[in-house]
Amino acid sequence: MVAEHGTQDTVLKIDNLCKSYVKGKPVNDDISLSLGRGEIFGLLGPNGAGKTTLVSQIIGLAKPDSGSITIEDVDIIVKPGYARQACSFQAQTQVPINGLTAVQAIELVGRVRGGEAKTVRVRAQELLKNLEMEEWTKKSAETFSGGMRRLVAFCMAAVVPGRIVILDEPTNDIDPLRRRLLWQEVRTLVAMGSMVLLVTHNVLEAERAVDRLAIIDKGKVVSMGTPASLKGNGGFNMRLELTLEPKATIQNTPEYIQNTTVTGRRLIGRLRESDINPTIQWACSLKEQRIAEEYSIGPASLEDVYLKGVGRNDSAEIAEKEADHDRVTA
Amino acid sequence: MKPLRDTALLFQREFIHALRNPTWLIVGLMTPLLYLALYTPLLQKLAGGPGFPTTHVLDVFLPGMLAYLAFMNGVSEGYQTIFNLKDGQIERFRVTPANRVALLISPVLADIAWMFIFIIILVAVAVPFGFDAHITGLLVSLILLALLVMVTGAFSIAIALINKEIGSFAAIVNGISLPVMLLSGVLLPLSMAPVWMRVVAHFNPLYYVVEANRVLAAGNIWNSSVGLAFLVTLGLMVVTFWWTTRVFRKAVA
Repeated sequence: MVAEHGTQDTVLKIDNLCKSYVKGKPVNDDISLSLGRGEIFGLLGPNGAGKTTLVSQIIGLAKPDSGSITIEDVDIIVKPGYARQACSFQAQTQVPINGLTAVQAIELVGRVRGGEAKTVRVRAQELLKNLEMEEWTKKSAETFSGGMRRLVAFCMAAVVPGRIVILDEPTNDIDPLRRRLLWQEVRTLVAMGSMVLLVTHNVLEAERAVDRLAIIDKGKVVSMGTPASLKGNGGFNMRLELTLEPKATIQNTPEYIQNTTVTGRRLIGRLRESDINPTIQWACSLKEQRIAEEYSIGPASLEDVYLKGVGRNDSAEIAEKEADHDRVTA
Repeated sequence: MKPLRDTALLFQREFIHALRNPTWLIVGLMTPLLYLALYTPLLQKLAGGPGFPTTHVLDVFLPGMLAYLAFMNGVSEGYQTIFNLKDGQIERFRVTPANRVALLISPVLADIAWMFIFIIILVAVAVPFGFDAHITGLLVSLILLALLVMVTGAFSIAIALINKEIGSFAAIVNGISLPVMLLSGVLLPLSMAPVWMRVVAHFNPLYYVVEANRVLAAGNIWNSSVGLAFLVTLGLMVVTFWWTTRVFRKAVA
């Protein structure tokens, strides 16, 4: 896989990275990425795809078997201390802050990251205010909900941000209002000059938040680009979804409908915007012939790209489950 | 500057953390207080007897008790290390640029600070009951006991980092603590013990600290046993810190 980004503004560069915990079973298999200043880069993939292992190597917690990782041209495999200074990290697991108040936990990390006391205090207050958490500022962490703890963890990563801010599932357990506020803060981090690496399996959220993304499956990068370019697929940026009548089948689809997949009673395909009218006519005729029950046409989503990249088995499973369901309800 | 700054920041965090868990503090203080209240009367009849150095039991028992307090404070350090490992605290700081030596030493320093407070309370309680307090001797004693916590604390942290499991760690700590305590003369001066015990005690570092602490409590800071205790403790500190730093750097790379 060839890295896409390669400008002078490259902050993080990963080349041909391989890592395995058991011989012959690579967790990261020849991964190459190049991430630039001022971008939000998404790392998407199902559980066990190798995302966390990749992040562990970036922040110096694990060493790759082969390949290289550089941050601002510094080899961080040789100098992991540089990575710890350059990266601030919000882990997926809940942060252990019992015994501290929200503001104490945030300020402590800010100071350890080298911030001056006054600057850190002002920035901590600003973050808590922006995330509408003022009433929690001086409360002990023991009383916090899971969402509150995650927001505090985000503030800890953002109080004195590194050139690279790594956020692993930052919005889990967080209410919709504060999710929106959190994404605004992520944008602020980018405006302050940081690069954000977002690790997630929430495709819908990633689609709205990231500038570029890589989809990882079984340790490999299966696709990479901007959400629009991945969805565009050579101009085929519309999505047709047909629900077939029980036991009905479609022998042939028109040639302007591409990438057709049938899972159970559902047919999904991609088309160009210019082919919407004939597609509607074709779908209507299927309804009249009682082959199709209903149809919809809309813009392609990143979820389709994601599922196509990583969800081959999932599709087969869904098809089987739907077939089972049909048999039971018939 | 950064190691000092990080040590100060993390020390503050550890010290406050203990304050928010007062059960640990209360139990930590109650144990030596109960020893004083319940064990001292048992010794009353021994005072002035053969092998018992002075006429007042508290002058013998309290300094030994303080050395034991320091020893137990240190060897218990690893419990917190294992809790921190389990709840991700160490992992959390691993990914920050926090100085590694500061990460290692700050909980030990917080423990020493709390021990100083305990010692002041214990001495204040013992004085009305006849303990003869000598300020200079006590101050030197505090330094010696702080060094002992450093040695035992560093050792305990290394054992905890290698074991990682509370069960096996507790077994090791208890297995070591009992013979070390009995062979140090904490409860009774070893001058009352048979010769073989007195010989074996010379291989026990705590023995030297207990002996020196009794001399210091009498206000005699220039005694050779004080010098010997400092020599033994400082020597052990170099060895344990060298070893623990290696273990720590490996675990918290």
